[in-house]
Amino acid sequence: MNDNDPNKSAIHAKAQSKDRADLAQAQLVGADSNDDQLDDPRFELISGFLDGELTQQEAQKISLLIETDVEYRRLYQELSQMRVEVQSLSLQEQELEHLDRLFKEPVAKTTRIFGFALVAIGAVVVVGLILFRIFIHPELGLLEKILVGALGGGTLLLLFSVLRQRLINAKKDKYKRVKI
Amino acid sequence: MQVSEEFEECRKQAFSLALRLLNNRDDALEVVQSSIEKGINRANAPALDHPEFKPWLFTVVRNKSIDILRHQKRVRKVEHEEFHSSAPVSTEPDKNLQQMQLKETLEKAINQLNMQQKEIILLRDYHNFSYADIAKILGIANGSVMSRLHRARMALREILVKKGFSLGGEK
Repeated sequence: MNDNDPNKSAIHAKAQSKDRADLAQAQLVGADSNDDQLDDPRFELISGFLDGELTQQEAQKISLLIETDVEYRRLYQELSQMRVEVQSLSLQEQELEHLDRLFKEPVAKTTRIFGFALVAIGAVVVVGLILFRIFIHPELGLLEKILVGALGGGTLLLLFSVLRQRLINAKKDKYKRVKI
Repeated sequence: MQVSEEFEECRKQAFSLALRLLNNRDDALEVVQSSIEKGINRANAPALDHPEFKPWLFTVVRNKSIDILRHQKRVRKVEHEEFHSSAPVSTEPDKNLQQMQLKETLEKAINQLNMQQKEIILLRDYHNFSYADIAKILGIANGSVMSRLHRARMALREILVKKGFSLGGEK
């Protein structure tokens, strides 16, 4: 069966709706005041009614049940009030402000950028100074100077590569203006 | 910026769901952050301004929360002072106190529900998702939402009745 067939889907939905409405109607006759029966799946249409998720036909049946059946009405009123109470729960303003601060973290972000810049500048200066002193040292041979120079040059290259990558990422980030 | 405002609201709601499921602020924050990062980095995730983004984000947040709960093997108790009522607060001290007590009872009752019951009630009654969206988020059939939600509501009602919470139905 092709599930995407609109005609079949419509027929199926209509049949399902009729079954549910019949079920609710049957409940009207067979309802017992016993609390255990409130767990009966037939009562689940009350939830659909509360949420506005029933068809017009189903909703009319449930309206009738609420008007005529005491147990049904009681359950409807209780679930309705419970739903209102749950809806009224919300996070405290302070909690949301705290959340905002945590997400934005302006101080931490600024500190991180500043720290990264200091480390980068310091590393370049230190490596450059060490290389300069080694190159002007009269007791060191050419091979030693070349090896140390390779180490220092490699470090600077790696640092430059990381900086370049971060700049490229920042430019390409299409959501950079979205607050996270 | 329009996207940012909608995104901000969506993020807060996602945090709220994670917080209620996990009962831990740090875990909830981490779940939301990593879910949003996933949304940004994943090529197949809906764009932030797409209508499908919110259900998608809630799906990821819900799944990540379940992963954490499974890892922890237990649900930590939420600090009741983290929540309050957004309903207009009465100026009368007695009524105010009564409202607070009712909310506290409700918070505790919600936390006594199992994960499946808790998440479906929060998605519908707290976050106002349609049944179709809830089905997407929970990965269940559309037709199962109503019955699962009703069972969850009945379970919550039973807990509240046991706690002496008056739901105001006709007797």
